Amino acid sequence: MKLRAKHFRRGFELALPSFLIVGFLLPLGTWFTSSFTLQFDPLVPVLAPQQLWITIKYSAASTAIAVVLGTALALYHRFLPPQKKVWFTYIVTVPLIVGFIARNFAWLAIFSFLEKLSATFLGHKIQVAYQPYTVIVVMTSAFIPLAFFVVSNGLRPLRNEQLEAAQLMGVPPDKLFRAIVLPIALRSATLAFLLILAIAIAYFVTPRMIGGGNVNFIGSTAIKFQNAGFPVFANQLGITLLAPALIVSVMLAVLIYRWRGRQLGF
Amino acid sequence: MRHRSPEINDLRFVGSSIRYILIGLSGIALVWVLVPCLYLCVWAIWGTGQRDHLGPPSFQWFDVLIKDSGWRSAIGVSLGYAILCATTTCCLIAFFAYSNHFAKRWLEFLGGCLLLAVLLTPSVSLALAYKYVSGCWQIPPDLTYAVGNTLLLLPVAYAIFEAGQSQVSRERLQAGIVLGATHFRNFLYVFLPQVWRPLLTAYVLCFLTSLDESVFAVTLFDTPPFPVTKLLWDLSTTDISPLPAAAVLTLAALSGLLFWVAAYVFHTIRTQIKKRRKHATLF
Repeated sequence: MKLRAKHFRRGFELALPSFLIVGFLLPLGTWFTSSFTLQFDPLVPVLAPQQLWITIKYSAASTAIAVVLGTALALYHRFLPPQKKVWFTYIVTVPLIVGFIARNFAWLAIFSFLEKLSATFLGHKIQVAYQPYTVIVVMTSAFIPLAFFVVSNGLRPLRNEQLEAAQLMGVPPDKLFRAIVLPIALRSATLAFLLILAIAIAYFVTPRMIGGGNVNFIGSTAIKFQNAGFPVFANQLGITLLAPALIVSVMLAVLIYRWRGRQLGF
Repeated sequence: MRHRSPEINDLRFVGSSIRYILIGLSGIALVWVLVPCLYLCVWAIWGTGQRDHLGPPSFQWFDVLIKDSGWRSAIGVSLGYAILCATTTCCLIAFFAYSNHFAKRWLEFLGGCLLLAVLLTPSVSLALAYKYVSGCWQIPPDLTYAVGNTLLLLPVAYAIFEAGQSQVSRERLQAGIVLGATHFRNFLYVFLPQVWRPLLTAYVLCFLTSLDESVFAVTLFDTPPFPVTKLLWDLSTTDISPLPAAAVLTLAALSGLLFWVAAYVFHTIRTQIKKRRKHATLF
């Protein structure tokens, strides 16, 4: 129930929506409409589908691995004693303090180090840096904390009383995990997958730094052309990037709507 | 208080086979996440001019960093933007959360939908839109960067803040209004004391996320002063020295110092207020 809505001064509640309209809808709308008035670059229809496929393939692979590992981490965290839980959360937060580009630099240094080690111990150098699979390795490492936080949050409805009741009724631990814990975890894992996929599609740092030109995401290509002085081409690639994001967003919205509906008893 | 079975918070509760799988996967995940962070520390201190070669420990890269005016200004710019954007974000989210208790439902729905749209829109597209708009409307890149950065922080802050919203007592908010407090005073003295923990968490996370913001920095800035992320991006294909590692560790250390000072000031003020209240009660 809302409190005394008629006495509430107008304007106070409009701060965030108006900031979002001015700072988000207005620039995005202007950019979107203006891009269609310019002549479409003939290279875009050739380049965009190819790069879109690469972007989705690598994003989906790294997101899937990150969600599996993040879910395991969140489940492990759920069954830890309270004091250990706090420390565990601090440890998973460490990458956020370090920063993303810096971690990419660190991965490059680690790969170079591994190449040197392979040359020393195996006699021949195994190429690790600038390989397509290393893009998945680095992106997965970036997404694991995100997946952990989303799934941990999703595990909140899992109450001790439910588990206690099942335990008292003699349900074996493995079945209890499959029947009670896993469905809740899978639901939040699906949410985490779609949410992280939407973020992963826009990644541009790792494909350029770790892929070294072998893996071109649509975002990294758009940024490259923007910085090289081809804004029209970059903008049209940027608009193409909105399509997969829109599909993922619709899927996410449907999922949230269905779950909310079920919770409300529809 | 209700008794809780100790087994519920124990991993032995989930059965041996699943327990080993969970421990194994968690171990892999932790190593995967922490290895680059730890290697950055090693690289900054033991690193040499070659990426694959470690030398004797030294602080030479920190020394180079401190002497370089470009890096110094970049660190200052990054910290400045982080303070500005995190503060703006937290203020907007706190106002929004407070007004949701009073305003019409459609406004809450509109705000929520727009936040979700910001989260799901590719940041690259958003940055390109900002670049286009700033060029068309002659808006300076500093302003567009601050607005864009704040925009990206809003969903993060909202998610954290929403998780802590259950602590807010509607009865107290209503009591404040019924007793004649203005909305500003109600916000300041009734709402904020109830939500300061999630607000602080949101501030810290927004600050760290803002320091790490790269897409707007790379797209919008052409001339210095740059944030650190733009400098790191420019170095990403040329530099192989541990300078980026030293820069990031310096930035993290300075942020930690800032938070420590802020926590100290906050604690001192709180103690003073408590002392004054105690004194007022005695006399």
